[in-house]
Amino acid sequence: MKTWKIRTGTVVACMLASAAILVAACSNNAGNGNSNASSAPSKDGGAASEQAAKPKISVSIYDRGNVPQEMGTIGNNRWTQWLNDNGPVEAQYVPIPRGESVQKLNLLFASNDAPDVVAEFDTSFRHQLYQQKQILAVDELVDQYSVSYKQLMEKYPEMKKAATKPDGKMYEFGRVQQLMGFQALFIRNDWLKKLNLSVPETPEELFEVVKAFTENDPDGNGQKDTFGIALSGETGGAINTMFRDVDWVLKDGKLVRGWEQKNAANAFKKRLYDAGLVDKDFLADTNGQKAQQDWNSGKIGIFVGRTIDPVNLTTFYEPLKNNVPDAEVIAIKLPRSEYGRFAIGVNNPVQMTTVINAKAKNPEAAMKYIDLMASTEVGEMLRYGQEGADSVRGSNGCLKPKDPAHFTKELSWALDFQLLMSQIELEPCAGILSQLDPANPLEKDFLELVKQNLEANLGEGVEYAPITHGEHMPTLPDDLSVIRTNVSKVADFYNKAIVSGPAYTVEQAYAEAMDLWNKSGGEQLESFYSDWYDNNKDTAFLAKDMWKFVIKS
Amino acid sequence: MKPSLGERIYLIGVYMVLTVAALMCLLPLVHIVSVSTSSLQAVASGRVTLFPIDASLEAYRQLIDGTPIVRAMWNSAYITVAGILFSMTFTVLAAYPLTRSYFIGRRMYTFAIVFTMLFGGGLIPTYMTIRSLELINTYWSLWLPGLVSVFNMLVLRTSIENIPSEIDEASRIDGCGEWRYLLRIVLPLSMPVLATLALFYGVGYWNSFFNVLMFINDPAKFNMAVLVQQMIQSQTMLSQLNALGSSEQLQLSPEMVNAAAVVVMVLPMLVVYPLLQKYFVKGVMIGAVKG
Repeated sequence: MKTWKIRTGTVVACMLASAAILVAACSNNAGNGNSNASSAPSKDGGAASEQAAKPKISVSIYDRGNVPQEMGTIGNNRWTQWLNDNGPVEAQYVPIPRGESVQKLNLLFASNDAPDVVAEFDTSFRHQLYQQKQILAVDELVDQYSVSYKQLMEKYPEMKKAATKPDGKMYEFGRVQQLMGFQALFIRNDWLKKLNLSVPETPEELFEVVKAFTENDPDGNGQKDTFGIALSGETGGAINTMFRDVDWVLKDGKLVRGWEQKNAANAFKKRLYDAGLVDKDFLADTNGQKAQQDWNSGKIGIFVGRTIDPVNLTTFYEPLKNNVPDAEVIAIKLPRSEYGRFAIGVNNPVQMTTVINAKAKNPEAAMKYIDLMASTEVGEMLRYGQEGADSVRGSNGCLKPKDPAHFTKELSWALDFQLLMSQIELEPCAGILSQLDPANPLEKDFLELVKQNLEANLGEGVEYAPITHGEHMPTLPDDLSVIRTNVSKVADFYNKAIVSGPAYTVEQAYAEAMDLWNKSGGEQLESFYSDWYDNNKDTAFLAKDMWKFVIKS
Repeated sequence: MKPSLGERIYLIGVYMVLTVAALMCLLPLVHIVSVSTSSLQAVASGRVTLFPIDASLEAYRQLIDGTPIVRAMWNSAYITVAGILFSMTFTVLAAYPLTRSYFIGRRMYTFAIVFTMLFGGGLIPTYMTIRSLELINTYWSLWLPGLVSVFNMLVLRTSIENIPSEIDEASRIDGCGEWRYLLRIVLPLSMPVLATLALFYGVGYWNSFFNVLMFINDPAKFNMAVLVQQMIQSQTMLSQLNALGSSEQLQLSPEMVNAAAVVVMVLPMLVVYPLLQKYFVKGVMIGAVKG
């Protein structure tokens, strides 16, 4: 009798449990189906017959977790609806989290789930897709189906150069920008004036200026609490650039490893450190945040910031002016070292961003979508919004946001739709020079800085330190990638040399670095880069091609 | 009895070490709370250390207005609560039969279940399995794979085995059946362990990041862990790579808003832990000792 009860009870429980699982699974399938239908742009009500005719594709879009709740989600919002209403295709957007984008895309490609049109900044990932034959060669597609992108390519033949892979075919789509000063060497001019110094033109003069900034109390508060310069973050990087320490340099027409330059740069840094002119804990400041905070509170005299976008004003200039209203900042050229005078940093004028999945069912539709996104009308719409509702024409005739809060809410997060928009076609309105308002005193100052930095990076006598922008360097095959990871530890030897005083010199660091380099197979890297340069120096996108896009002022 | 000098020195030493450890855990949290309640100026100048400067709730306002954090919070809560219910139910249902000596094949089942602890299939096979079950983009892809943690189940099993067999025999004599025994006697007696396991599952589901990232595509369904990571990542990536296009910079999330997001995410767990702490200490010990 009892076993009956146990048995019945158990059987009933099992049935209930399985029923629950079945119900949940089935409702989720239906729910999945429903959510798929609703996440696709919801215009099934109106103009149904037109929608039925549009081919469907899937497009990847970065998700940065910053779309305000009432605007929807990155895959389904005002702008995706506008694009689908006014475009030739119906695009279903697949959000890819920006932080783990390569991993997620890898997963999607491995399980054959990847979208038809894929946008990804990481050049080595796109190259990996090419090597695995996961993306389409697009020469014929552009020829047959493209209008606006083909026009862009005719106007800027470098686009094809940058998009061509080793097998000679074109695989990528991208965007063109003017070449501008990206990074800037800011210096406190009020300190220079107070201490009767002039702008440093050589590393020696730079050393003297930094020494004076640190020791002679330029902020006049009676305490020795200032630093002349920072060694962490991009400021430390600029010191490397000053000596052309960019890893791969040209010597007698061949691309070789620049050890001499690296030693010179680190010797200079060591001098600065030994003389107590920089923060002793700079190695702990891994992302340059501490140096940024020191600059903001007026405790550093020389600092590298950026002048490419209005947001740089709020990052590099406004906090300083709030804390030290009398601060005067100018943007100067990098001092001329024995290796030459170099630009602090410029942007990548021809940036590739997008590829088409080899398994796309409708490559023609994908090409038409790319054409749409590359056109100036769409670019303007997604950048400024609807004229009247979101933006107005300023006094210089350029579109600008009607109201900052409204702009932040409705447009600021839509930047990832502009990965194919060539900003150069929207000039002179799109660049920072037209976006700052001279009536605002802070923006007027920053406008001056932008212009000074243009001269510092693009002016006479200044050359680009590496042979080309990092995004245009060749991608290493996997086995060489491993070697590169192993030899990246040479940076630790040099850092040790900087901070260890007389106990460990730069020469010792160099000896250990060469040892590691030879043991790990560094000469394979050398022959890879050397061969690449020899074979490709006429067809690759190099610094001289970058300089064709210098901003026309 | 007064402790001897040796014992006192020992006690002082232990207290010092514990205080230092506690401070090391506590101070970063205090710093984050201060950063989230200070003004932008103070944070950008690096003046905020332990206490808020120019206290303001601006960061929280920006957080709620400008990011989908409220929706993410509801998603996190939903995933956690439902996850705890499912996981606890099935953990109990798995652990109890394994304690019954008259369960045929008990040894074999235990071995099979423990065997799954040894290795997993890897990311891509797991993804393809979940996809073929059509669970992608649903929360079942989070609940189903992690439904029963074998470790937790074994802890529960050990704790049930520790219930004296006299109670079992007495209840059988009085006519108690299996279900009644489970529900009326075993579970009430295992309250500490159950609370502990619920807490473990809860924290696991609340913090589940990688699974959500990989299996959920719709940003409306993201939970707080993914959202906060995205916000912080965009700031970190920015300062690392020079090659980023200028447009990337505009998506920088101010440090304050990140700090506010972290506080909002950590707060529920902080609140729940002390409430369940008395069960926690008892529960872990009971499950650990056999016999």
